Amino acid sequence: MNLVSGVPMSEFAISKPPVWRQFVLLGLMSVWFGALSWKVVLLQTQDHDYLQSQGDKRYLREIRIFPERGAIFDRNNQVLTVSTPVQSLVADPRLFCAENAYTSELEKVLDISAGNLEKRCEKYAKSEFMYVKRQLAPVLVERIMDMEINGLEVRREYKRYYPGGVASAHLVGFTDVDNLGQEGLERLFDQELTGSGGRSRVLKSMTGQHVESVESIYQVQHGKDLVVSIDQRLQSLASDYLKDAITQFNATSGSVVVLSVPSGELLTLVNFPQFNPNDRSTFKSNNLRNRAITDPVEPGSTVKPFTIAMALESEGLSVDSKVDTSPGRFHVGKYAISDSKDYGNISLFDVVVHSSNIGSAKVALSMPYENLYQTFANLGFGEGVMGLPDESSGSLQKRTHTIEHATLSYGYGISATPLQLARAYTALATDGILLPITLERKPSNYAAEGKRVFSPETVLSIREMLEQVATEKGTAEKAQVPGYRIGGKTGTTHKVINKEYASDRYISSFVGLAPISNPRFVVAVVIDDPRGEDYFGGDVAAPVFANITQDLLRLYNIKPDGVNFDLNPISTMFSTSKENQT
Amino acid sequence: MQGLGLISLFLLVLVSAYGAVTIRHENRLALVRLQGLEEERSHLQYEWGRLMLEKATWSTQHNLSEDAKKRLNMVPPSYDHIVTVDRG
Repeated sequence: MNLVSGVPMSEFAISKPPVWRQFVLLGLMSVWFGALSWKVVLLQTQDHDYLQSQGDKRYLREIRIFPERGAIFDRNNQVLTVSTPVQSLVADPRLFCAENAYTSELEKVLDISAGNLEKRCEKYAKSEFMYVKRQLAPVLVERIMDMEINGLEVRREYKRYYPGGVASAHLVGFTDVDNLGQEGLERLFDQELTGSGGRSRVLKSMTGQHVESVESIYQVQHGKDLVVSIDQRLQSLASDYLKDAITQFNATSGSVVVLSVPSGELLTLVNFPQFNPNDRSTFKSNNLRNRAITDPVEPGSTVKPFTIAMALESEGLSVDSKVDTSPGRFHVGKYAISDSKDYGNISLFDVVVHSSNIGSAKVALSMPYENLYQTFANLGFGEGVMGLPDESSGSLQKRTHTIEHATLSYGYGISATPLQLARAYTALATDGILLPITLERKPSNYAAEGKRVFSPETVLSIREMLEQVATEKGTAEKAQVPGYRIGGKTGTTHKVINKEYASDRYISSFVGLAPISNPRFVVAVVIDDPRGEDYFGGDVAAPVFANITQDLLRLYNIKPDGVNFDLNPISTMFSTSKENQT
Repeated sequence: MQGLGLISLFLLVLVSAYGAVTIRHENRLALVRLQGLEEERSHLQYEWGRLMLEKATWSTQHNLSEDAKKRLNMVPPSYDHIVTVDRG
C-alpha cells in the first residue's frame, strides 16, 4: 500500500479491525489493572506491617551523635586542655571479616602486627561492631578509606591534649580513652565538660549516606568550656623553682600552693614528682599523687602564729606579754618539749619570731584547751577545702592528754594538707577573715565573703611578727623579696616513720604573705624529706617562696612597698634621652 | 454539583501529593547541605584545636624563657635595674 499512489481513503476503511478486538483489549487491560490494584491493596493492608519493618531494617538507622568535650582555660585564657577530633576505624565484623575483605596491607598501614585482625575477627565474630584502630590522624584515615574495604567505617572521636603539660598535670587531671574524667579538674567538672550525646533516626541510602533525618530522639549537648582561676604562667614558674629546690636539697617530694587575696582564688597548685598528661608511660602512682591536697602532714611551727593570735584575742595578753622559756626545756608530765636554744624570758612577739616551742606551749596551756581547738577548727583544719577528687581533710582530733594540748600549739598531733595550710593563712592575709577557696575565675575587684576568725588588730600584730621572721632576727631571712615587704613563718617537723618521729628526717615548710603591708597572696611551700645538710624550713622552703613571690608580684604588677625602695623620679630615668632629643 | 466537588477534591489531592513530594525532596537536599556544613564544622573544629595546641606549645613559659635566655640573651632585671614610676 502506497499513499503516494493515490489510493482512495475508503480502501482503508475496509481494512478496519473488527469491533470485538477493542473489547478484548479493553477487557485484558482492565483485568491487568485490576490485578495490580488488588496487589497494591494487599500490600497496603495485609502485608503492610511486615513490609514496613523489613524496609526500616534495611534503611532506617539510629545513629549516636557524640558530644564534644569542653576545653579548660586558665585565668588568662591560656588553654590547659582541649579535645581535637580524631577518627577511629570501626567495622561490622560480619562484613569486614568475610573472605578477603581486609588485607595484610591494612595491617601494615595501620601499624598493627600481622594476624592481629584475624584474631580479633574471631573474638568479635558474633557481634556487629568492633574497633579496628582508635584515634587516627584524618590523613591516614582518608588513605585507608580509599582502599574501599567492605564493612569498614569511620567514627569521629576526640583525643584530649594537655598543653598545660607537666606543670598543671596534677591540677587538671586527665581522661581515659573514652573521654571520661579520671583525675583533677577533668573529674571534678566531668559532667559539665562531657555534655550529653544525641541520638537520631535517619534513613540511609545503599552507599551508607544519610538521606533523610526521620527524627531526633535526643538533641546533642556539647560539653561546656571552663575557665578556672589557675594561672598557667605561675604554675610553670612555681613548678621549675620547686623542682630545682627538690634536686638541690635532695628531697623526695614537695608542693606549692598560691592563693589570691581577698578573692580566695586558687592561682597555683604544683607538686613534685610530676607526670606528663600527654604521655601515659609517665603515669606512675608516685607521680600521679596530687600531694598538695591528698597528703596531710604535721604543719609544725607554721601554726604558731595562730596560737599566739588566739592568745592576743584573750583579755590581759598583748604582744609584749612575757613568757619564760628558760632553760630551753619544759616538761609536761613525762614528756619534754625543747627549743633549739634557751631564749630566756621573751615576749609573745619573739615567741613567733624565734619559733619557740616552749613559748607556744606555755601560752596555750595557760588557756582552756577548748580555745585552742576551736581556733584551729575555725581556721578550717580537719575540714575539706574545695572538693577536688581525693582531697584529704587532714585531721584535728580532740585531745586525750595534756601533752596533746601543748603539742597542738606548735603544730604536732594535727595534720593538714599544704592547701589547708595556705587557706588557714588567708585569715592573716585579710583582716581576720578565713576565705573560702575557689577554682572559679573572679572579677579583679572581687572579695570573697568568709568567716571571721581573728580581730583586725590581732592580725596586724601577727603580721608584724611574720615580717620580723623574714629578717636576720628570725628564722627565714632567705624568704626576702627585693623591693617588697613580705612575712611568713617557717616550719621544720620531724617525719613520722613507722609510727615514730624520725630524729633525722624532716618536712620543711614556709607559708608567707606578700606584700605584707596589704597582702594580695598567700604562698605555701612544703618540701618533704630534704636529705642534704640543710633541712630547716628557713633554708629549704623559704628560698622557693622568695623566688616564686618575686615573679608573682612582678606578673601581677604589685606596687613595691619596701621601706628602702625609693620611687625614682621619672626625670632621672629619662634625663639622658631628653638631652639627646634637644 | 457533586461532580465539581469531586473534581476539586481530586485536584487538591494532586496538589498536596505534589507538595509532599517537593518538600521531601527539599528536605533531602537540606540534609545533604547540613551534612556538608557539619563536615566543615568538624574540619574547622579540628583546625581550631590544632591551632590552639600550636599556640599553647609556642607560648609555654618554658619555651619562652629558654628562647629569651639563649636566643635573645635576655636576663631577668636585677633589683637595682628596676625603676618604679609612680602614676600619682
